[in-house]
Amino acid sequence: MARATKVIRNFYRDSVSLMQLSSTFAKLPGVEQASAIMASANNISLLKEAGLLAGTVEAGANDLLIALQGNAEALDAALAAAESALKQPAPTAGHGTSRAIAPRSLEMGLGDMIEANLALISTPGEYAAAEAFKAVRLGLNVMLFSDNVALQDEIALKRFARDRDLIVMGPDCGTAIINGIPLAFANVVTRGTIGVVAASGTGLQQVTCLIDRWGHGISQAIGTGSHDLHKDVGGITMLQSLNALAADRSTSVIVLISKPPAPEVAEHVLEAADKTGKPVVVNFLGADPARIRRANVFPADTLEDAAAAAVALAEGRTPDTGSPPGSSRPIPSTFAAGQRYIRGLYSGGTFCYEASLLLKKDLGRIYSNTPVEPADRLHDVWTSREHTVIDLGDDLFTRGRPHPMIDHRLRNERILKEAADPQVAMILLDIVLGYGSHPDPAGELAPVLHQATGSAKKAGRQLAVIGFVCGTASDPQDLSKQEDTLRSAGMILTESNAQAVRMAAAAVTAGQAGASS
Amino acid sequence: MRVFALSAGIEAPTGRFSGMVHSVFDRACNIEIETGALLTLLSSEKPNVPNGLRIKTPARFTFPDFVRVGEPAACRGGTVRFTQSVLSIDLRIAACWHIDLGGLRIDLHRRDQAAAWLVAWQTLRQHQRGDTIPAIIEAMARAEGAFGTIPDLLDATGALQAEEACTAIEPLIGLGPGLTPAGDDFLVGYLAGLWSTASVDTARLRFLASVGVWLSRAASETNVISRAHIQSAVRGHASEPIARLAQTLDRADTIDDVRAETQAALQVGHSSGTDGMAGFLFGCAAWTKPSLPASHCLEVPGA
Repeated sequence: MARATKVIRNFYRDSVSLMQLSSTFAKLPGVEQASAIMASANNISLLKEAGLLAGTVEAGANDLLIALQGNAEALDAALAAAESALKQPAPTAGHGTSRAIAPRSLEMGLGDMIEANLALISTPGEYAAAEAFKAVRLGLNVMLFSDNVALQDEIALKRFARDRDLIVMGPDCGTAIINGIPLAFANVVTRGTIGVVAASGTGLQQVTCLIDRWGHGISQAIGTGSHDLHKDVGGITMLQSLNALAADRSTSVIVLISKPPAPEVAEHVLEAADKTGKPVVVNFLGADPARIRRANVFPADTLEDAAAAAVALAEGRTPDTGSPPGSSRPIPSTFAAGQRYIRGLYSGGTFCYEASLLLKKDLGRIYSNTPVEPADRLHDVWTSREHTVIDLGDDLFTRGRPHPMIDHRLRNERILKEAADPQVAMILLDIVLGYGSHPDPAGELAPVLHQATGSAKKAGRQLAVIGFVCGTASDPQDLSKQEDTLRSAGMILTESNAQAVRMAAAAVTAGQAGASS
Repeated sequence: MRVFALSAGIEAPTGRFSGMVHSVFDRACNIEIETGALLTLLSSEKPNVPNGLRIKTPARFTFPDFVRVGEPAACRGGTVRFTQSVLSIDLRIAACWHIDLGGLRIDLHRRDQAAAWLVAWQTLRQHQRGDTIPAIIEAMARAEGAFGTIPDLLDATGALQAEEACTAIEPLIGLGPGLTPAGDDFLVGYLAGLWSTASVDTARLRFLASVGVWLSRAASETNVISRAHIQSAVRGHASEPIARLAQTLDRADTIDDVRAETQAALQVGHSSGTDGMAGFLFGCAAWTKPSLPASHCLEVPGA
């Protein structure tokens, strides 16, 4: 039996190819054994022990060694054929030699979508800032859904992003609509010319939904996160967003929404707003309109007013400062003696705060877990007293359970509890539609409303449930079906939170409720 | 054509360097840089390696379509370019990839980790039955000098005798079929297993250091590509499939997770996955034998 060898210097083929080559060479005519192997000293010894090699071979570990054993007359042709085979391109790696890796990091995600310019981050708060920094380093704007990010981290992150001409929406940013795409808890709205910047998620949702309902559209809706107008943060995101919308040709009117900002920050933001050259509607809930007004800046008392003013300005009209719509509509209920109090059970924090402000004007003290005045704090949040409005989205209620926009159980229980209180005349509710929210909130609520009003009726009382649906006709929950279901359950629906609250307040001040005790 | 690097292994240079294309495969390409180190470019579906850059490659991309062996390459301003190729690789957004094996605490005295190890071992054995025996075992059986090497290596490691361990390792270097010979694959896995179980034990770390010094030199007996893997393993680094499996054992993950990671590691190359896995599992058990039922006793090749 003859042997033949061929050394190919610095020749590298992957292992699969080498195995295939060995197999191919072994099938050549006249060949009985064949090996294509890297020519390390140990492999040369191995081939010698296997009888495939004899004598010395001038080869190194980086060389490919072909060793053949077979008929002497056939080996030359076999070696030539083997060399020829090596000149062919390496076969494409077959399936199963590697596996596709699903993106497990921002970098990998960006690899799959090179053109992406925004990262939405939703991790536990303790990890969120680090992820956001990574995203900014990668040149991405950030929507930071996560809450519980340390204020110092937020400040550092926003400054870091600002230095790179990037925007960080959040932390605690639950809503945005960017280039027509709803992000997180957001509604499907028509695209248009009104830009919104909000430090309040449900505030942004209410304003964008009303604008949509009234036939206008949104260019961009940017959430800043709830802490952005804190004095130490300085409104970095709101100021960046203002500048961006000022430069945006598709935006003709800008709306700013926030709970009361730090005074020095408010002043800075208002100055910047005035300089945009575009009309800016400002709803800083509870702020003095006189302090807000500037040449280009229009104050709005409520979210509804802000939407109405933006629509008026987009149409080239001066915002209406007259009576708000729907405020004089009476409640079609006759209350029993002793029914005197309003209980607001909100899933949206800004709705709750707005309700507190509006009710306080007419009714005085309003207890809440998120009160306008610290003295009005409800110490036992599980038990209402007098006029009470509760933000059920507060951390106190959401620890270990989903947000009430997703899971209605907690609010449903509270509705029944309030309905059993003989002093309660009216319950205020918000129903929020859109992405992220419960797929059928009215379906969840209707049986509870039947039960609540039914049990009150048995006790000789009429309970009015007043509320509004924050949503649009294009939302996945089907707005008209949701409203029909709620009306069928006896709920009085208004167009906005402000209208619902004013209706309830009017019933008390007019003596319709609490007339006798 | 400009593509982005998705990740850079801990040893991969991302600053200024110059080099030359050393070898080209469909899904990978090696650049030998001035320092003599090897930088491996990998297409996106390939797992990370310590000395590699994973690149976001478009569909149907193969390196031979773009680069040639011997072509000069350089990195300037965060971009790798080749003298004759239209291909350029932007490294600026590459994330550092690293799994620190030395930070793991696999201890097979722990029942949960031993159980996870057993799942991996059984998966390896099932793979062998369904496919081929590890190439290293076949090579050892054929090479007289290597027969009995693994039991000797396990004994020397258990006794923390570095010199004896090196003697046992020597016949494995460059031994067996494959671009990265089976013996090398086994050693790379074995070292990964040792690093994953060394913890902060000074004697074990000293053993690893001594063997590492010797092995760094001895690795010149194998080819450049395989040598790079051995040198990474000496430093406590391993490719993603092995490193992820190590993490899975460290966390004592569920059976399904351990099995999935083991199977992923077994898919590497023709037999490299099997050999590396065998080495890793032996390495994990070298200092602490897992408490196993008799039916699961270790079958040491060559013993």
